[in-house]
Amino acid sequence: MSAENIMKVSFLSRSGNETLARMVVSAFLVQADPTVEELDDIKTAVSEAVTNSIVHGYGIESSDKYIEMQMSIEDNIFSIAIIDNGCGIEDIDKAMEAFYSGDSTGERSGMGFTIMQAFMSDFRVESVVGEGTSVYMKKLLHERQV
Amino acid sequence: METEQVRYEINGDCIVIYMPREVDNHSSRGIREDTERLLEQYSKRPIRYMIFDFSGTSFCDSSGIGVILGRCRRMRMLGGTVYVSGESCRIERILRMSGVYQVAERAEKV
Repeated sequence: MSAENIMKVSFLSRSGNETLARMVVSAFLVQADPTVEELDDIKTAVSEAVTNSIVHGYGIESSDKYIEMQMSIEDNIFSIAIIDNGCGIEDIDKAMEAFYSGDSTGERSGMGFTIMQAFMSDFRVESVVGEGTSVYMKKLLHERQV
Repeated sequence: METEQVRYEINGDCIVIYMPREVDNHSSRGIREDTERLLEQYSKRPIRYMIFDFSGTSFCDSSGIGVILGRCRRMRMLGGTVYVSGESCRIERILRMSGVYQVAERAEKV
């Protein structure tokens, strides 16, 4: 039986809310009964996208900046959009390069987008400078059973 | 969110960092600050070996990779070496993807 469900949540852009995002997504996924590996892939990809919004999108912690997550399950496909209204990405191709980071402190791996691409079945980024960034990802669940 | 306590063990010229259950942007920040402070504090009898022990870790994303790569750079400047130990195959996968094994050694057991 394929469960169908949709959830939308918004939470503050604040360090510490990466955990909250992973917990929310994990809770939503219970109904789809993913494998441990599938759940881990999704949690990692979501963590990367949310971290990007907090660290790069909004940059500074503030009390009125929100990150929105919209997720759905349909026919064993988990879809999620992670949306911020932050600074946007000037050069998406550059940002996608492995080991490239917009942060110059040398403390960031530059692997966020590479990991999202590797861990999810489908991945797309839309960004407008000064308006924000949206990351759309899909994961096919129970692939081995097909 | 409450931050998990990270344990640091210093023995002679070696520091072991027992990584938290979940290593992400939030927990990585504290690890970076703590290790920098300890390296500074012990600069008179320098720390040569830094071991990241992942045996208690079930989740690690690229922020965790960033803190390891940053420490590798620091330790190389100080003439020291970084080791990684106790990682599960899931964490091994992300460390391998990110090139951590090219700059850090693997330790079988702490």
